[in-house]
Order: sequence, then C-alpha cells, then structure tokens
Amino acid sequence: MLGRWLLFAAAMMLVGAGCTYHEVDVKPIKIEPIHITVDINVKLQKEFEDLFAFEEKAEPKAKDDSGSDKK
Amino acid sequence: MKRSLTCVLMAVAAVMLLAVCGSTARSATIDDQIRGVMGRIQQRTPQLLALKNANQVGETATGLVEAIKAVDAAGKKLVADENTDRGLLFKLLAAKNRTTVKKVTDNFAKFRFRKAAPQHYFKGRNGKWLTKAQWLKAGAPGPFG
Repeated sequence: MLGRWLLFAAAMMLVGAGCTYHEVDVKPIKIEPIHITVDINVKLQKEFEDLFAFEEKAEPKAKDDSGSDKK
Repeated sequence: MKRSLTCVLMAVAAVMLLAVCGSTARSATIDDQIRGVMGRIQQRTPQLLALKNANQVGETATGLVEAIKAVDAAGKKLVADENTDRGLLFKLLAAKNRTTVKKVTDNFAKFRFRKAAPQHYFKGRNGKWLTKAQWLKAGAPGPFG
C-alpha cells in the first residue's frame, strides 16, 4: 500500500515537472548610433584641401597629381 | 530651501552658457585669423609659383619654402614672409584641431608634395633636393623617410 502511494507520488512529481511554463525572453535587436572617429591626419588633409582650393582654380591646367605621397 | 535650489540651478545654467559662448567665440577668432593668414598666402602665391617654376625656390619636408639657389632681395623677403605666415597657420590649425604643431607641419608637407608639379623641387628630410618626379622614381623611403 505504501509502495503504491510512493509510486503515485513520484509519478505526480514527474508530471508536475513536465507541466512547468517556460518563457524565453528574446530581446529586440537594438541599433546603437555609430560614433565615427575621424583620424586627425585625414581631417588636416581635408582642411588643407579646403584652404588651398584657390590654387586649383588659379591653375586650370591639370597638374600631374598622380604621385601618391610617400612617407 | 526652494529659493536656494533655484539660485543654484540658475548659477549652474549661467556657467554652462558662458562655457558654450566662450568656446564658440574662441573658434570664431581662430577662423578669422586663419582667413587673414590665408589672404596673405593667396596674394603671394603667383610670385612664389614663378620662383618654383624657375627652380629658385622649393618646398621642404618641414612644410616651409626654401631657396634652392641664390635669390634676389625680393625673393628672400617673399620666402621669409611666406614662412612666417605658414608658421602662424600651423599654430592656428593646431589650436583649432586640438593637435600638435608637428602633426600639422608633417601633414602640410605631405599635402604640398602631393600637390606639387613633377618638375618642382622638394627637399627631403635627408636634406636632398630632388624634383617630385625624381622622388617618386626613387621609391621608398621618399622625402619623408
């Protein structure tokens, strides 16, 4: 009799464990703003291009600007 | 209590407003000075270009111009004035961009090399005078090596 009750209790525990509710939280994808750090060298080169743009206007003949500056 | 809190908040707001106005005024002054310097540089450009085309003057890796061979008094003055204004420009740009004068100078020298005509002379860090075309043909390390 006791054995049957124990078996019943164990079965009920198993059934109870299988009936639990699980909720999976899926966090929405968040798009953060991208902070771009402009290299100071790029910034300075752009500044020089802007400041000395008058040279390009004054010399309409295309200078040979094909050479990349070497370090 | 409420009154003192209001006073504190007003004081903080006033300090913040002063800081914003101060920084705006500072950058406006620097831009004005840069404009002034660039005006003088622009006026000098045709004469400087003539000296460069005559191979009397050239750009250097220090960002300044230098006489390659003997120039007359007018040419010497032109070079001196140009270098004075360039020095001032480097300081202003360094302050404006919150960087060092050396960084500005190095970048300016590279800019000038990039914009130079192939027949114009350029003095490298090693003290050698070569035309841009010769520097490019020589390859690494180049005028800045």
